[in-house]
Amino acid sequence: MRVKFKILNPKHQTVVAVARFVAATFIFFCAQNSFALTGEEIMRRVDANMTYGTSRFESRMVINVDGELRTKNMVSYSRGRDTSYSEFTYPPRDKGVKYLKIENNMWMYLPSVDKVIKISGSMLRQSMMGSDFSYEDAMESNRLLDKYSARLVRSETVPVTFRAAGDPVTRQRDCYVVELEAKVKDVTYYKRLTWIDKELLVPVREDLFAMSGKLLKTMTLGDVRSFGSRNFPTYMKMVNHLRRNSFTEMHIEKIAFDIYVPDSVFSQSALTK
Amino acid sequence: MSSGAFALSVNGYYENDLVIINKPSGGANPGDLNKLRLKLDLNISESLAAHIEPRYYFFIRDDNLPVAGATGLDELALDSAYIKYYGAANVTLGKQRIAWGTGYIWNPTDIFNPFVLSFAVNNDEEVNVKAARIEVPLGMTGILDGYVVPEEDRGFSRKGIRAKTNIGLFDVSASIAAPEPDRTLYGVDFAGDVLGFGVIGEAALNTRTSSSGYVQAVIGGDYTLDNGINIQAQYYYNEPGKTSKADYDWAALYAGNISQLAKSYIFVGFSKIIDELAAVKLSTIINLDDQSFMLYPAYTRSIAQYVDLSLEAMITGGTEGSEFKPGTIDPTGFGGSNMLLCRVIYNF
Repeated sequence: MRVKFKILNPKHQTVVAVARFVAATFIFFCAQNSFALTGEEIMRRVDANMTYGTSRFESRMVINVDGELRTKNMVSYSRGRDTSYSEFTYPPRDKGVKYLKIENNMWMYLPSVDKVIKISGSMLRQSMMGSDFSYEDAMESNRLLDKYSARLVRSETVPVTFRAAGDPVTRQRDCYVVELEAKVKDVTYYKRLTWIDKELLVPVREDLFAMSGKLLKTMTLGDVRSFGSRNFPTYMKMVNHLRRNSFTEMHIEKIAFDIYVPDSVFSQSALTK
Repeated sequence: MSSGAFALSVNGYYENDLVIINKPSGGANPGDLNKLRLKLDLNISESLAAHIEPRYYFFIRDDNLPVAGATGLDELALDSAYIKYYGAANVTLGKQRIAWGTGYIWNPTDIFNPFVLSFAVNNDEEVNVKAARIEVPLGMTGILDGYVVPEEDRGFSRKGIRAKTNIGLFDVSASIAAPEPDRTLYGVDFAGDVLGFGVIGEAALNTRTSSSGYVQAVIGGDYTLDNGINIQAQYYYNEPGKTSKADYDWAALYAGNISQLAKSYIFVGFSKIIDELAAVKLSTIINLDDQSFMLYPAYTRSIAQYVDLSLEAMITGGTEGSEFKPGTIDPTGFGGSNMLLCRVIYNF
């Protein structure tokens, strides 16, 4: 948008001065309001930005152990915050393995036995498809406020990568640092420290702690892309600090939001299809 | 989810199993089993697909070495071949896998694979059957599943129907099957979550017109410790089994009419993912009536994007004449053997 500047007469200058005052006051109150945001409000805004009616992702997961790489590809569909379906398409060994998540339930389909297996209890803590992500990490992407109380700890500037139409660009971004502390006992991570980009309202980093205070995992997010008025990180890196020299990267290569997805996709019968 | 477009995909694997069996009578018998399995999937349309799975086994062996899934020295077989229609109900016709139940080792409601050493046997070695099957979705988490395995003599056709749904954190199912002309099997099973423990249960009441009925049931749970070690335990109750090894029906076992000799068994498994590429597992089955056991340690590692290696061992123990140490009762002489296995699989 091109802005035109004009030389103004004194009357106009008074109007401009008043306008500036009003604008400055507005910005001040906005800033005050922003500063007064609670941890819970920030998390709700993030949730509103990150939750879509439906979505479809094509992702590439790269597991890195001491420089040895294993790649897995998958296609995922989701609806709202609690329903998702994923199918592994590569490598051949994992092709056809599918996952269905509906609210607090998760099922896995193994094509070699043509059987749907319920993943429950502490099995959710186990590694998902040999990666640094656990089943629980995949399930706990939302509804964190049901299990955690949120507190704004501080603001901090951290590097975040962005990807438009080319190579990723790293920029320093102002972030809220929100501490999430468990309200219930049945959680793997007793405390989570989350960095939220103030402007884009996306998480860019998360440290996950055990009850003892030990740092278990660190997740870094980046390659933030804009979709309409909203923003979404298309890169995730999970480092499991309990394992040496290992991390898993997730690259979302194709993404579509608010598309038509038949109800039948989110059903157990779709797993055997 | 089927893509809908006409497409053929060819996958499969080549597997080499180098096995050494140590017989109770002494000595080591080596064998080398080569397996080539193709998995051909043909998407004919949005609602029609076909799957064909031929396998070729080439076995270089010493003596009559018994290895699961290998029945001949040079064998080509069609493990599964079916067409599947997807619609308001899914219909599958042909040789296929029908796997019911929630147990890991014992599945009393599954008439085709009621007992599988799942920690030792490749899933592809399980029994497939020529059947007509229909699966009707009942909402998002429910399904009505029925099959018929036809026989020339219609009276010997096997059939079953099962209804499955989800209640809270539990999947629950009820089933009825007719595995034999005079036997009816009433089954229930569940899988869910109690206080962070994964729990499963499966029970079958078998009734016969000619004799009294009996119950087979399995119950178990699993838990993953903070250090990542997963512990899984399942108890199996087999009412027709015997509590004394002197009463065991060995003839029925070797004829394949029964899967277990005793009344009570327990399975305990420990597994730990070392890193994203390697894992260790220790599994054991104990016959609680004669205290014989099978111990199965295994180490698996992904050695390349398409190649997996596993080193496994089977160690048996017990007194002479017990289930896992049958001694001279076993006509093959291999019962109660110990085994070492090195398995390399190339997936494509």
